[in-house]
Amino acid sequence: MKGLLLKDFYTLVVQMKLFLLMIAIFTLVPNFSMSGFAIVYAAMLPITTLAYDERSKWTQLAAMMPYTPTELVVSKYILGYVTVAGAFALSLIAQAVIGSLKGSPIGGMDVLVVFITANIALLIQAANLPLIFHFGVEKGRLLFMGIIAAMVMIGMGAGTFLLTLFENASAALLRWAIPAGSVTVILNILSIRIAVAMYEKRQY
Amino acid sequence: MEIFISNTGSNPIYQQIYEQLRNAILSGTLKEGDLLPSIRGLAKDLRISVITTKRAYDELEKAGYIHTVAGKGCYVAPKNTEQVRAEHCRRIEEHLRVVLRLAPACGISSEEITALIHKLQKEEQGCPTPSK
Amino acid sequence: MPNAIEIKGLNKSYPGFLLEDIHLDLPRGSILGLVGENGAGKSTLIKLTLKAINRDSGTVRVLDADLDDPDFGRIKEEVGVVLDEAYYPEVLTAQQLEKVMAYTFSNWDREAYQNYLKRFQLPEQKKFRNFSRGMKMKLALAVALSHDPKLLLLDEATSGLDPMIRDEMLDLFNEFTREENHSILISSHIVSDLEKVCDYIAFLHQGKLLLCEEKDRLVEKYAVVKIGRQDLEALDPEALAGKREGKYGVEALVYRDLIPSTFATEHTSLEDIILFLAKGGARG
Repeated sequence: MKGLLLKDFYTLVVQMKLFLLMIAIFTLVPNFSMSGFAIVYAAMLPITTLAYDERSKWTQLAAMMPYTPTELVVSKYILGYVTVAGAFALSLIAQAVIGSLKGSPIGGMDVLVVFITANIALLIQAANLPLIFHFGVEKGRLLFMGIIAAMVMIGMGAGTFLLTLFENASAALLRWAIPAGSVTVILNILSIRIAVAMYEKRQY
Repeated sequence: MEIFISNTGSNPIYQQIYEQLRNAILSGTLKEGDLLPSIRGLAKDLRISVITTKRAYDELEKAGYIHTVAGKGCYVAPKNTEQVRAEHCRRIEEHLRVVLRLAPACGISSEEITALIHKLQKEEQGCPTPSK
Repeated sequence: MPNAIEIKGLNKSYPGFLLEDIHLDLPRGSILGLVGENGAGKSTLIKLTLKAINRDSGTVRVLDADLDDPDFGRIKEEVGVVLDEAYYPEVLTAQQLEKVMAYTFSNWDREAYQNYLKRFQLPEQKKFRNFSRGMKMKLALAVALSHDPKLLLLDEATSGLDPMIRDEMLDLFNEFTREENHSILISSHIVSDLEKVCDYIAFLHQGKLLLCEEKDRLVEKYAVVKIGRQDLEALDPEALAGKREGKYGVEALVYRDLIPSTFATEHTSLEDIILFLAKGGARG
């Protein structure tokens, strides 16, 4: 498992530099949807590594090496969690810095929105990875676009709904963070199970 | 000791090894009690198959030229005089056959051949015939 | 168990492809060359050996473990693999790959790997996206050899390499099998690549194993004769293994034992034998 993560880290080194630059630029623009974009982009990085894997046919080689299907699948999820957590932290730090420079420190609401965004990103990953493992990166990517579109629509609806709910109630922060987090965790566990099954069925 | 393998010859490779090792033993290049190269080592050095090499060694052992000590390797067996004699006889016969085939072609009688043999024998024994 | 690989009654079907009833043993300590045209099923067979793809039926044992053993994965630690055109992610360098493999194989040997890099003159810091095919193959082989493997599975590892590099590799295979418990299964569509190095030759043709025999015996067993049509008819049909009829005569693959010694047999290469058998579809 460590080996797989290290390999993905190396493949992403170039991507990472670009990614950090993007987060820096996006967060300079004081707009939540931009940091949201950075987080969703982070959730896409595992797919980038899968594209590299497929191009060099590493997947075929990996199937002959001492990795279990579970390791091969879970390593991609973990990679996603790490990059999303990184993007989440970076977004918050960047916003805090900008906020304090502007004299308007970030509040619980800001944290919640970023947190919800991170959850959405992880849900996208949970929905997407099993498809990728089943269909391969090429077709999986197309489906990914579809999922994003659906998510954006749902997100927009949910967003306005959330905003009306929290207009004045920052105390509701915990109340919403916990269910959102739990849903993400449950769906991810389910997604991993499905992805492992998909992986085992597909022939490399 | 040198061993050459020919891939184009009609002789199977195991036979080539067999013959060359046997000749080395008969001629004394390999002496009684000498350790032969390991089967695997020889095969890899000659870049030939291990199985083929093993076959040659098996044949050598069957013919009594070598014996195997479990876990140690193959050693040249004590010379069996009877066997060496038989082998030499066989080779003499081979050469004589050639002589007998050649002789009628130029009308040499068997008496003349016998005389020739006696003459050569004297030469070999160190009684030099006056050179012309 | 005396065999490093034991395959019995192995079947695998894809749409438009069938690997049928494969029986194959690789005796420990030997090199088995798997020959066959492109698409004959060589890669599939090699992948089936480590369960990288699932088989339809049959039993496979590798290094004393059954493919269905729950801890079969452990065996993969002892197998070095080089696949045809499947490489490590190309943006990595040889040095990064070393670190990844150190976490992958529990008996990874860093020193051995570095020695191979030196021996093959591979740059450590260069992404191997721009490596030549020969260099990629060497790198893959360096990885395959650096975790004390007992078995090498090499799919088309020598094809497309220039003769110098190929010879270097054959030396390496020879060296590897100096150990009595080291075995190699190597595939190629080029017979002459394998002729030099193998103890056994197996011939896979359209998903069927037509032949699996000791290489030197094969050459002893068969011979090619060039004869007229009448002589061919006079020949014991039992003695005939395959033939190629031309305008001016017939070339026939015959069993040496079964023909009269008066026949002029030609030195027969492995390639000839395999070509004849492929056409005749005869069993060795």
